[in-house]
Amino acid sequence: MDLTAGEAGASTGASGFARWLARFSAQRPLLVTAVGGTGCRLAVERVVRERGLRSALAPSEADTLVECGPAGSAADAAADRVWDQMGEPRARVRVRTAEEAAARLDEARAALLDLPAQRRAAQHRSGADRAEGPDQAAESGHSEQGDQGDQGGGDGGGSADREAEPGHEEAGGPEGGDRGDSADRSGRADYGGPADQGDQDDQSGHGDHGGHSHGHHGRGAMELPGGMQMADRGDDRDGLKLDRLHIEFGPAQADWPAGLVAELTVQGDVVQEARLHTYAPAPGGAAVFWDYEAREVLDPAAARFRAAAAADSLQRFLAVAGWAPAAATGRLLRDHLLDPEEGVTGRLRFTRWLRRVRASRTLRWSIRGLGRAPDRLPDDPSGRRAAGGEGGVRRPASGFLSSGSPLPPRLRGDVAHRIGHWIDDIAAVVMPDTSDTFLAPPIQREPGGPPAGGPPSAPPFPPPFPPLGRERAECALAAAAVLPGMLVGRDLAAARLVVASFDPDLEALSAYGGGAHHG
Amino acid sequence: MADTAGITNWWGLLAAPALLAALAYAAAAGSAALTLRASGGPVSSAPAAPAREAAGLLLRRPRTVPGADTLLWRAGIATVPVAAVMAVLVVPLGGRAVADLSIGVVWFNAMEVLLWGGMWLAGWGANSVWGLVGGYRYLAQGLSHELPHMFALTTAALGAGSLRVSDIAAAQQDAWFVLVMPVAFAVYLVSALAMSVRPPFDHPAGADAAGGAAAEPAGPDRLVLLAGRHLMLAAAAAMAVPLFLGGGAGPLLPGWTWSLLKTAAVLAVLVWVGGRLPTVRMDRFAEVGWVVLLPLVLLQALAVSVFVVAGWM
Repeated sequence: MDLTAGEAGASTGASGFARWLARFSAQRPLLVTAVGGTGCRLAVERVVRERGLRSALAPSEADTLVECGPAGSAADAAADRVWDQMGEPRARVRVRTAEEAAARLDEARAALLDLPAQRRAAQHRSGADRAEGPDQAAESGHSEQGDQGDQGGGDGGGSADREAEPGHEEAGGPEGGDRGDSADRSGRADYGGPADQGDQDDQSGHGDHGGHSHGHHGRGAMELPGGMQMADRGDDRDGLKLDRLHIEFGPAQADWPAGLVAELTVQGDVVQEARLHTYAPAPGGAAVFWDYEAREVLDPAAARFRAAAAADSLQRFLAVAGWAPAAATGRLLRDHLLDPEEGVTGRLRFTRWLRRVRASRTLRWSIRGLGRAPDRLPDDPSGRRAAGGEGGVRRPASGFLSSGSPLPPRLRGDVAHRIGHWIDDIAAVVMPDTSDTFLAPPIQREPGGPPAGGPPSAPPFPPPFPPLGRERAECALAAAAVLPGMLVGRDLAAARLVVASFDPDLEALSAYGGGAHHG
Repeated sequence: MADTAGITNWWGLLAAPALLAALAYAAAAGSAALTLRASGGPVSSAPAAPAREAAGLLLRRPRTVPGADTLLWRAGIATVPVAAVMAVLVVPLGGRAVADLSIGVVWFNAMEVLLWGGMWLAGWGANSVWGLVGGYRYLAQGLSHELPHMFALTTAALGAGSLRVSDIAAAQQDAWFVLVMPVAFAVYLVSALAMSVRPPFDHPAGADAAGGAAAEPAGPDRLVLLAGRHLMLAAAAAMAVPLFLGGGAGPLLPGWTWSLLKTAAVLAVLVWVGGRLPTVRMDRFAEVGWVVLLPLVLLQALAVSVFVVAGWM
């Protein structure tokens, strides 16, 4: 092991060895996708795949922060927190259009190789940290927040409630109205320190938050090193008094729907309370990537595009399920489906992959009985509360799903049902001439479950062919309504699988949901 | 073999970790190749992929997390490779182990239990929710794989009538134990994957929890942890050879070559299986460990005991 040599090389400066290490090292990007950045994310993932790189799961392993999509959305604050958790050498780029993905990654690579500049940045940062006392740092927001937010791992905010959350004043203070609402959420400002209050009072209106934000420090809770507070306690399902932690999934989590934040209260790794938030897109940045208007009943291009969307959702699900090679093939297939020049039908690599995923006993066994969705959307106002009440997903006024209406067919049933629809969509393009039960058993659907959406070869919609984006928006809205109730009582692994099986498309929701975000 | 027993092989003290590291590197490169092939990426870059990742980690500034118990955190991370290297000391290469202890099997088992502490501290010490979840998952998974694993080891020792690893290898002159006790071998392989947090038993370091126990360590800390996992996998594969695959027995080639070849083959199977399966979540694995693996391996031990008592072995 060259461990000591490497550390010495890094710390004494840009010695020849350190330069050599830097050139030899593999870039490891961490993607943070804003709502409206799906096209950029796909382009970046494609470059990463073609270069034989791997995306990072957490800031600890990343050296390049790639922000996908337009600036100005609430995802920026999450990216800031992630950025503060990354150690030098590090680079940060924003990919605004799909075409510039490769160039931006090259740019970041060049910045990473500039070791003297990296060293200066590191010294500057540690100097800044030292200059600010712990209290000042806590008030001043992000620089310190990043360090505290280190607990958060993948999402940069997982630790939020064990500490007095800095960045409050900044995020929650001046903005009012709906824009401020989303910025406030993004800053993770709402339920900073007083975990007890967050527990019992978490449906409280938005107006309270400003009050919280000044009441944190010195609430009398025991202070831990680093200015954090002890977790509070509560009864768990077995009647034990256990620590309650408040964590967040998203929005910077790997393989997580862009713009979705799940605020969870957990004991151990069991979810006790769940709330969902969605991030609004940046003004003018609500480009819907997965949208296509079919022109005829069996429009092959539409089917192909739909299959690409399904492959994207499926690869994310497989990644969450811990099947990295299968997820990698899913990404390859998705990229091929999006490229009209590439042939996919009948290609052995993809048919084999599809059969393996569909027939995997381990996968079937792993998700058996998991995440059965309710048949109907929860009623208002309880539905609104479940979906996060005031701060959660807003329901548009009319012309869309309303409370109590049945769940879209694609979302019914359990996790296996939902990913089965994606597999069917892909099979319709990759293996069009095989019936889906001929070569491999379909993902097992539990007897007595609601009927699946129909045979895979059937046209996905009756005329007059609503655009794909509208269908996805409806699914996203329904998912946001039913998900919180489905997460409670699950462990974190199951909760992630359930969310991944819905994979709500918030871009589509923001475009087709009308005033979904702006009330 | 008996004459070398109890004599510490000082030269091997250098060679064993080096060989173990080479095998661990090969395992890491193998899994990189599997993923690259699946993604349609450049497979030719796989042999260098672990080294390139290590280079990046060596350059990175190690992080400190507020409230982290840095001492225990680092100690836990360091325990992982140390336990792997210590475990392999009793594994004979050909006929010679670094230290052919009379209780070699127990030593191996003890080192691998040391890993429990290491992984737990690596997760817990980081003061991170993901690390904590990952550490707990490792304990839960360990509770499920450890008893079947211990009975698999016991069954091999039972067949040879000795806890000395070289005696177990020597007892397979007539028939390799993999033929006599296939269930114990299969259980051993499952637990080898589980103890080294390799897919499909990588839930403690799962992608769903941002890397679990491996979520927070950065830079050199991370390198030590990741290398330790691969070293442990290589150590477990090496131990499978004297326990079940006849040790260095084989035609033409010298014993140490056969030991290495068999180890590499076991390692290749373990890596390949890992790429074929999605993660087995620890709650599901607990079911398998206690309801399926444990009764099966107990029956296997019973059968071997009967063979021994009847004088067939």
